[in-house]
Amino acid sequence: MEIETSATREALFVPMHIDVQAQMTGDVVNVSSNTLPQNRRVTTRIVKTGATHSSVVSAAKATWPQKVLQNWEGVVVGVSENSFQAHMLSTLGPTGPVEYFDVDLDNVADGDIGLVREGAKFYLTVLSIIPPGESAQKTTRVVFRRLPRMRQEAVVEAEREATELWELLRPGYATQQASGSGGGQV
Amino acid sequence: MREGLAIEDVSIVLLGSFNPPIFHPSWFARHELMSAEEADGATNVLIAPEVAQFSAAYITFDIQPSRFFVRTTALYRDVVKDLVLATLGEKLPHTPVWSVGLNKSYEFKCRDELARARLGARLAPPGEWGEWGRSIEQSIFAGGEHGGVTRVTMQQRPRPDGRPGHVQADVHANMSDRTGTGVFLDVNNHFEVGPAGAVAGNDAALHVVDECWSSSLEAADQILKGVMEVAERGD
Repeated sequence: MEIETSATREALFVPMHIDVQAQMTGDVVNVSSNTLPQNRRVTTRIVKTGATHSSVVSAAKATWPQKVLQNWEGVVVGVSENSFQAHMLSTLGPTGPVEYFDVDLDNVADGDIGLVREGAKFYLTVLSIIPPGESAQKTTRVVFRRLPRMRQEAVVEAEREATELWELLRPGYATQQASGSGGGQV
Repeated sequence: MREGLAIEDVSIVLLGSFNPPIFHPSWFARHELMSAEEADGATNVLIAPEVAQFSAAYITFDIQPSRFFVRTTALYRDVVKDLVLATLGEKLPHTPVWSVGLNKSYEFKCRDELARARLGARLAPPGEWGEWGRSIEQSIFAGGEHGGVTRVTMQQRPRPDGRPGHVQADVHANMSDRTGTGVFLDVNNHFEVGPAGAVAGNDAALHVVDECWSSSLEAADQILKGVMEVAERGD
């Protein structure tokens, strides 16, 4: 397998971590020992020449020029037949108030529909894209987060914080609940 | 996002021991770490014994035997954190990881080419390099072709949070930018979890990812703010 790299920056500006890709020849990969981000400006072109192992190579997908017009982070607070409702916070510009959105489910990718439920977190982006030979078009992108399970120590920490909050609001209540002697309404 | 910012990326780099060929897009889909549609739509796919590279679900993957790298746009910043925690914490908990990098990269534009040259000269004054540096400094302000500071790296050690590791900021010119105004800033929050090759599992590393992700990105934003203030400062 032969791998060619082409950097869009001039050699003078090749960062120290470029060796990860630039030194890939045959099956030998030299990896640097730092945790720096890789050079986002480097593109790798793969030419398969009699590789002895299975390589899967696909062509780069054409990307159209695009401009982000707005971006929000949201939490789903309700789901109905054709839409879902969410509390949204803009992530561009100064922090604004929490906004309430009703988002059409048509905006959600088929593979993400199962993620749409109360409490789900997602991003909503309004973009302007310019397909070749056409004028700018507005489009919406919804990206749902696939939240990992909470780590055990995070669960313990959350319970501790909740207990502290209960003690602040109703001194003795949480202790009574834990000992089984409590009850009643809040 | 500040005015003048063109690109913001976030990435996570893990140093450890990985088996690249398993990290095929279909593996991520099978484990519900991305949807089947996203896996099917993966681009620039290269899966080989020593490397797994592709882009899918707004994430760029580059996994090598001792390095796990994922990057996405800052718009979807927590997507890579979720992916790392679920992939390694839930699916591959015994995979050892001994270093963590929580990174944010920016590109911004200076007012003009001279403003970019001035930024470099402020961050690393050429005059401090003796006669050679002073001649470079004069050429910057004489107009026409000139040299100057091309890259400055600053490292903070120990880390302000007391964890083993360092914070590193790298400011460098975007020489492919024909306007001569583009500047890159790469901020690396590096955490040492344990001695290379002698760490069992990834629990400690993922704890760092979980606990330090947001604060690392916020710290990077503060570094950006400082650098941009220097860039925007007048003559």
